Amino acid sequence: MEENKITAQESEEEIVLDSNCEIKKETNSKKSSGFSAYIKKNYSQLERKDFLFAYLLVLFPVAQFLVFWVYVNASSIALAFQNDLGGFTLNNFKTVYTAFVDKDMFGINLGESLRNSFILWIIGEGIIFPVGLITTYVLTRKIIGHYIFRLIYIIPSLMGAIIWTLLVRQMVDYSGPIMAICNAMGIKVSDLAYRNGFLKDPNTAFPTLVIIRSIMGIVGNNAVLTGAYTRVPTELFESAELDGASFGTELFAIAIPCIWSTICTLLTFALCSVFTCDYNVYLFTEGMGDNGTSTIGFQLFKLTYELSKGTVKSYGYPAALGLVLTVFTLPIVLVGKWALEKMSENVEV
Amino acid sequence: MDKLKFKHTPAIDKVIYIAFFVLFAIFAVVYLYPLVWAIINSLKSMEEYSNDGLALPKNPLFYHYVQVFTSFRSTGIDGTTYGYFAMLLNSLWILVVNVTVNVCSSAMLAYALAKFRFPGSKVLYAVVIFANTIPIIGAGPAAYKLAMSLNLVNNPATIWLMWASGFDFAFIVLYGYFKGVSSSYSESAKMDGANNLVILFKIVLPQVIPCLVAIAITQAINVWNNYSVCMVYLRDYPNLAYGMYTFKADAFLEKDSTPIYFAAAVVSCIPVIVLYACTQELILTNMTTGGLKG
Repeated sequence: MEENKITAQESEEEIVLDSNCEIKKETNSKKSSGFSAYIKKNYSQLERKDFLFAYLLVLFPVAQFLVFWVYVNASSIALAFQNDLGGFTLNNFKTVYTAFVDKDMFGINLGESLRNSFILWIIGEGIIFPVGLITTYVLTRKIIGHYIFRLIYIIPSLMGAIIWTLLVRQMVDYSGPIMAICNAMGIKVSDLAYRNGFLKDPNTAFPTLVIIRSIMGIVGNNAVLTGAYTRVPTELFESAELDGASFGTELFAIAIPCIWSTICTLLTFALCSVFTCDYNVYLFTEGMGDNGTSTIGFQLFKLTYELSKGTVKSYGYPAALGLVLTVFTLPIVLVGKWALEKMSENVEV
Repeated sequence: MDKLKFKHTPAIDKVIYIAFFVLFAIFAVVYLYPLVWAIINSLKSMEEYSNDGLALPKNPLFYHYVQVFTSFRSTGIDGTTYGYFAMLLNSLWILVVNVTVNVCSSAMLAYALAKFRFPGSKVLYAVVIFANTIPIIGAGPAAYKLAMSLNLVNNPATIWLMWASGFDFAFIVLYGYFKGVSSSYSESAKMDGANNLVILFKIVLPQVIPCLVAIAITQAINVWNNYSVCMVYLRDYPNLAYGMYTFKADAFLEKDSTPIYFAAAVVSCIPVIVLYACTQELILTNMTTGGLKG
C-alpha cells in the first residue's frame, strides 16, 4: 500500500508542477487540471484495485451525505424562498423580521432567544470551558479519588438529558430541595418562585438555566480532554517536577500547549454550536420556552417537532430563520477558525 | 501520566491540589444528589413523597421497581400503548442498528481517506472538514420534509439511513487513529499477496479496535438516551428515553405515579452507568482528536 502511496505522491508532485506551470503561464482557471491529470495518468492494475476498494469504502457515507446533508441543506435554502404552494416569495423573511422585532407564532421574541443563546454559549465556552480544561488536567494527574470523581461527573451524561433534566427540574421546583435550602438559609425568594418554582419566575428562570448549564458544562469535554492529556509524555512532567516547576507552569507551559490542537478542534466545533444547541430548554420548560428561557436551538427544535405533529404547516419560516442565522453566523465562525489556526501556529511547547 | 508524586511538589501546589480535592468533593455531591434523590423518592409512597420529598423513606417500598415493568407505558400516535419491555426492545434495536451503521460508516470513510491516495480524496477530506465546521442552521424542517417524501417517518429504516452519517465527530477521531497506525504490516501483507479486504480485517482493524469500541460505547450511550429522534421521526417506535418523556407528562397529571417514574429513571440509567464504569479507562484513553505539539 505504501508503495502505491509513494507512486501516487510522486505522480501528484509532477501534477502540481505541471499545474503550477500552467497557472503561471496562463490563467488561474486551470486549477482543476490536477484532477484531469489524475484521470489521464495510466495507473497500474494494483493502483486501480486500491482506488476501487477506496471508492467502495466511501460509497455509502458519501451517498448518505449527498442525500441527507447536501440535498437537505439545498432544499432548506430553497424552502426559505417558497410559499406553501411552492411559488417564490420573500414573506418568510418578513415573518422572521417580525419575530425579531415583535413575537413569533409561539409568542416568543426571537431577539430574546438570540440573546439567551449567546449568553449561554459565551458562559459555556468563555468561562466553563477553561475551568473544565483545568479540572480535567487535575483529574488526569490522578489526584486522590480521581476514578470515582470522573465516574460521578459523567453520571448526568449517562443518565441522559431526559432523566437528568426532569430530575433537576423537580429539584428547582417549589417543593424541591433547592427551595428548602433557600428557606433554611434565610435566602429570600420572590412569591412567584416560592409558589411555582424557580423556572416559573421570569426573574429567576433564565439565571437558573445558566447555573445548571454552568455546572453541567464543566465536564462536557472530559472524555476528549482526558484522552489528549494522557498522550502528553510523562517525561515532560517528571523533568519539570525535578526542576521545581509549579502547578501553574506544568499546566500552562507544558500540558495546555501540548494539547493545543485538541483545544482548537473542540473550540471550532463549539463555534458551530452557538445556535444549534438548545440547552434542554424544551425539557426544562415542558416545551414552552416561557419566562425568558427561550433559545434559538429550542425554537428550531420546537418548529421541527410542531411540523411533525402537523400543528405548524409552513416549512418556509423555519427555513428562512435558519438561513438568516447561517448567514449571520458564518463570518463569525470563519473569523474564529482563522484566529484559532493563527493561535495554534504561534503556540510553542 | 503517572500517579501524582508529592515528594517533588512545592508546598503551594499541595495546597492547590487539596483545594481541588475539596472542590471536586463538593461537585461530586452536586452531581450525585439528583440520582440519590430519585432513588430515595422511588422508595416512598405517593403520599409520603407529597408530604416531604426531601426526607428519607420511613418504610422503603420496593414494589415501585416491580411496577416499572407493569405500569410504565407510552402511547403512540395511533393510540397503541407500549409497555416497558416493548420500549426496551425498541431502545435495543435502535441502539444496535444506529451504532453499527454509524461506526462502520465513519470507519470506512476514515480508513479510505487516511490510508489511500485516490483521485478526489483530498477534495473529499476537505468536504468532511467543511461539513463539520461550517454551521448550517435550521435544516431540521427540510430533513423532515424529505423524510416524509421518502416515507421514512415512522419507518425503522430512518435509523440507518438518516442517522448514520459518516461525516461526524467519530470520523475526526478515527481519521487521526488510522493515520497513527503503522503501514509496515500492511505493506508486508500486500507483498505476500494479501488483498485489501484481508489487510483491513486481519491487520488494520485489530489495531484500531480499542478506538472503535470507545466510539461505539460513547455513541451507544447517546443513542440510548436520545428521545428526540423517536419524538419526531419514530413515534410508533418509542424507546425508553421517549417513554420517560411521555410517562413523565402523564405522571404529573396523575400524581400517583411519580415514585414509579423515579424508579423507572433509576432502572433506565443503571445499565448505562455500569457499562461506563467498566469501560471508563478504555473510553478516556482512546477518545481524542488533534495531535500533540512539540
